[in-house]
Amino acid sequence: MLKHTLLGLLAQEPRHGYDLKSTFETLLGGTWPLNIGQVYTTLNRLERDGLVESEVVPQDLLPDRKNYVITESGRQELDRWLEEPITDTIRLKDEFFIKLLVHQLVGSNDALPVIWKQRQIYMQKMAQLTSLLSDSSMDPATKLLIEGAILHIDADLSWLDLCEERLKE
Amino acid sequence: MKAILRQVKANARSHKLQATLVFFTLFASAILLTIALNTMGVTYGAFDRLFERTHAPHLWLLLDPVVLSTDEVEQKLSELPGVFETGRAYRTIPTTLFLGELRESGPSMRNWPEDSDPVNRPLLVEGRSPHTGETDTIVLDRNAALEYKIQVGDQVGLLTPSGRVDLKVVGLFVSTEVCPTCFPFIYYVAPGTMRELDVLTSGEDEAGALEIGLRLSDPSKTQETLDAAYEIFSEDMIWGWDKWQDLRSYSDSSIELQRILLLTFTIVALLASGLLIANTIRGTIRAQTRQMGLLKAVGFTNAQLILVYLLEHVGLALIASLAGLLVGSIIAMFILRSFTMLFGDSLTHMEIWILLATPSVTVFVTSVFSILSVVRAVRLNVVEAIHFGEERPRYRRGRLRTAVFKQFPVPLAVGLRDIFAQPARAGLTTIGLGIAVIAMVSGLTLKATIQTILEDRTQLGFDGDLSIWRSDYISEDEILELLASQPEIAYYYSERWRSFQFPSEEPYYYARFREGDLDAFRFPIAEGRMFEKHGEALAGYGLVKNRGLQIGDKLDITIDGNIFSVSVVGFYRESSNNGMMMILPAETLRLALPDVEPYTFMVKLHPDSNPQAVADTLAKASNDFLGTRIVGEQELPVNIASLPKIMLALTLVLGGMAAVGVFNSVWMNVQERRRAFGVLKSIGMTSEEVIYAVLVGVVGITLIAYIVGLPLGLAGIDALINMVSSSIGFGPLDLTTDEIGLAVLLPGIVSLALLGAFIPAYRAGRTNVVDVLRFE
Amino acid sequence: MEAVIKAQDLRKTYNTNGVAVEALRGVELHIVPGEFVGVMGPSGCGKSTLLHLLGGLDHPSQGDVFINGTYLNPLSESQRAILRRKTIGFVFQAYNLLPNLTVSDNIELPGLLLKQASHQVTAYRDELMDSLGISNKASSFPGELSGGEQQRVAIARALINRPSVLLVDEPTGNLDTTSGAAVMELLKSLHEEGQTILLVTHDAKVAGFTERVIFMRDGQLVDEVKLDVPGDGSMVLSRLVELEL
Repeated sequence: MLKHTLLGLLAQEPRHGYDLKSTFETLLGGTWPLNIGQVYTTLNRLERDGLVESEVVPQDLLPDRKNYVITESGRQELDRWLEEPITDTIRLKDEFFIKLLVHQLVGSNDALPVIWKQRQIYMQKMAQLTSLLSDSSMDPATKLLIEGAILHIDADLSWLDLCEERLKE
Repeated sequence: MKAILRQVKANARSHKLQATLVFFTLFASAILLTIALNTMGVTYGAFDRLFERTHAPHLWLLLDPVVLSTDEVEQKLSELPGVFETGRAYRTIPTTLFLGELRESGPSMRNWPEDSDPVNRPLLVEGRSPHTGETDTIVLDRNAALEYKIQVGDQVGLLTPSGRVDLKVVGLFVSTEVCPTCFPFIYYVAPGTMRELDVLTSGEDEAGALEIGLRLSDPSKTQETLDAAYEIFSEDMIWGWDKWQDLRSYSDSSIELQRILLLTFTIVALLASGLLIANTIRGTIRAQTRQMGLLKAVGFTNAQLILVYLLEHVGLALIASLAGLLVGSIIAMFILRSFTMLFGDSLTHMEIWILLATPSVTVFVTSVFSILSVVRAVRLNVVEAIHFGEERPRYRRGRLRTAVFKQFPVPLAVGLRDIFAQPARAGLTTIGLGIAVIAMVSGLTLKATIQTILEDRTQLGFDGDLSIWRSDYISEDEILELLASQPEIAYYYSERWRSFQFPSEEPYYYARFREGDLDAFRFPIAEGRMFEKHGEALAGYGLVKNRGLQIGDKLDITIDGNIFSVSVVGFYRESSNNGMMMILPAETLRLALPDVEPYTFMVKLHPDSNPQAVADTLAKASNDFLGTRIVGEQELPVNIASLPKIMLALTLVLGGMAAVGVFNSVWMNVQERRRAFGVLKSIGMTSEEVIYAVLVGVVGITLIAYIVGLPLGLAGIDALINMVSSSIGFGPLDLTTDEIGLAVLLPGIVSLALLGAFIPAYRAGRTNVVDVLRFE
Repeated sequence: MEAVIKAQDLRKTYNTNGVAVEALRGVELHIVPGEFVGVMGPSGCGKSTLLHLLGGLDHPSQGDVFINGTYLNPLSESQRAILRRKTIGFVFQAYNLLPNLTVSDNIELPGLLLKQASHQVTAYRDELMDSLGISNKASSFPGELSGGEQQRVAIARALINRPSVLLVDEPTGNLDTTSGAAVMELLKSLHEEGQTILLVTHDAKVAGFTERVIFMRDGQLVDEVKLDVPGDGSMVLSRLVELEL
């Protein structure tokens, strides 16, 4: 995903590495810092694949800057990616699910207390996420992201209810 | 179609309460309708039915019994053109009878017709006819029996030359010759009795006349037949005649009053019940607004929806109307019993059209209101109907109203708002209450006015202590002597009736000719003054109306061929002959008939005298040739006496309907506002306050009904009383208002309304908040 | 601190069509002034019943309810109504406004019931309408308002008599996400001003606004969690959510 994000930024205008990092962080409201090394690794891969080109721009009094420019095939790749919906399989990296499963296999105790404890945690998270939303100065993109997270937590809680129900049977 | 029927069934099951409300409303209305139709059926055409049953003559002739023989009369008359059948010619003799404590001069004795007599078969309604050979039995006119309170098995006394003879009443009859207020009445004896009792002669003359009845092939040609009769017999042989058309109009006019009242009764009651039906059906259909919306959403078309609700209500209407028909007929039989007895109609005289009419009208009215209400509801937007149901809010702004309501405590404000929230329903209920108020006001006023009349002795003509009748067997001089010999007698005047005509006019009228201590008595002279000399006269209001008289008018009247010119100096109240009478000085009569003697004497005693003692002394001293009657409690003419009873019945019925109307209305209101009451309770309104709010609305509309109904009722009864009064010749009457009664009426009608509203209001208070708010 | 709401061994059994249904099976509750408590459970768990009993709308089959120290059980229906006027404000899922009264009349109504001086009531009503942002709808009728606006009117009505506690039943049930969030923010700010609120819901997103959530299952309270939300703005999004790129 970083690959295409960088392509998008470069489609706007040619940029150098640190420029890319700071612009990206601003886009996400400054909440997620990006690793510069990760940026350069991705840029190299892009160049290798012919989607970007680099050019060295000499500077007075400063070390040479390497600018990256998007190529024609890079643009095409970007367009293709923009049009395409996500068809990945649903990502369920849920440790709790595994925990429950193993519990069934091994545990002699009731799995219910685990569910209750998990619920408490989720509820906390829900409250915390909800409280973040009160900030009226938040930019809409971030807000949308938080609301999405809330819905995910809500779904998780609903799933917990379902587990509880099934366990009782 | 199946879907429709299934829906109808489901509706009926789920809306039992509403169905019951509708059913009882329709049931009550059907009863009233049946009674109304029966009333109309019985009162109209009753005369004609009896006429045909008794094979009554179209023309009665009264002839000289001396010169003519019965065979001659019968033969000559049967030859007249147009005469279809002739009856036998009988003697009819005016007699004096003692009935209970009363003595009446004038009742006509006749021979009971033989079985072979084709004309005039009086209808026996009780007992039996006199048997041949019995000389002490009579069959009495049923109206007379009612009036004098005589029953089969009682004795009446007949005055004969040899004194008083007792006759036993063995039967009662009705015929078209008699009417409730007609006098003299007729009674029948067995043939031979007249001779046996020696009443065929009066002094040296033959008593009475020959009477014969004729049936014509063309009933309308009575005048022509009469003229033909005059050609065969000379004028002085025909002493009198009666045309059936006249008899019919007497009969009609005598029952006119009852007929008008009964009709008014039923029309008003029907109106009230129509209101009730409209209100109830409207309300119950409105309560199903949500369901209608759902049915529409499911796919019912407007027409199908109308059909569903129409069938449901029409079904109820059919059952209710048949039940109402049954009950109404039974009630009608009781109410109209006296009526049917008058004309000898059997109690089960039921015409087919009534059997069909009641259900038809009920179903029709129900259909109309159902369709109207459903069409209105069905035109609603489906979504709105489902969402709001019947609680469609009305947006009413009004800063004034808001400001006003804010001054009141909340329950009062809520209650008052209620009145305006559903104006049509409140309006209909108010009208129902208003009608009840009008009836009650009318009843109270009527009663008070009648009371006033009764208390004023002069209104019914007798301001004396004793009235005395003279028979032919004692002369005027002898009476005057007797009266003079009684020291208790302070004042008296004498009276004689005689008929008069207006020149070149046919109808006969009657006049009272009086002389004596007239100044000492009060007479019911409403306008003008008493006459002071010959040439002056008083006119009864019937005559006043009939001829458009004014005080001071000069009239020419013919008494026994003599023309007199009199000046009308006063108007007086007279109920005999519908007030078509006059009072003149006896002097005037003597100018026409010098030998005539007065028949009755009105006597005023000194204070502290015992009227009964004086009466007994006089009777004894005159060998019972004098009849006396102590002037006691006044009695109203039968027509008027029945008015208060009818008004009472009307009031009860209308009051009941008003209460039911309130019940229906408040019930529907409460049903519809259950949600609102739940909300109010949830924010802290107590049950008592809820009940209060419901009842406030009721009190409000009752007040409005009272305020509007009171003046309307007074105006209405004023019009009615005066109409009745002038129709019986009593002249214009002033109302007596029962102020206390009218004042008490207000809390009375409010109590009635509260009674009707009690159950639904209580139910409203009992609203379970949780249940009502649960359905969110 | 004296509890605003205290319930002990609360039980309620309904008899519907001859079948006895136990809606509450022994509930204990203790709510102190200033708390914002949520009772969460699936539909049919008895949370609405609990709310009705606490509000005196119904009486328990067994157990005790105390509101502000007043023992509710022996009170008659009318006495409970009068108590309700003074100490409890109800907010329902379906708003339950009186449709033929204007917004301002609806809000005032409980105040008038309490027979307070009308100018005082009017003044406070206007204040509430202001703070809830519905002043411009004062003379409109409920039917002319959006769901969110109606709920705000309902909240204003519940607050007019300055109740000790607000009882709220599924406030966002009939609202869309945005309006629902707005209403919840409103409740939260009321809480921040000191209002005690007890709320029942099946929606975790709603419960997330409270500071203590009690879980309810089948007529019993089975668990509880205190929601720790530092109010000092030290919450950082990146610590909560990992954005995987």
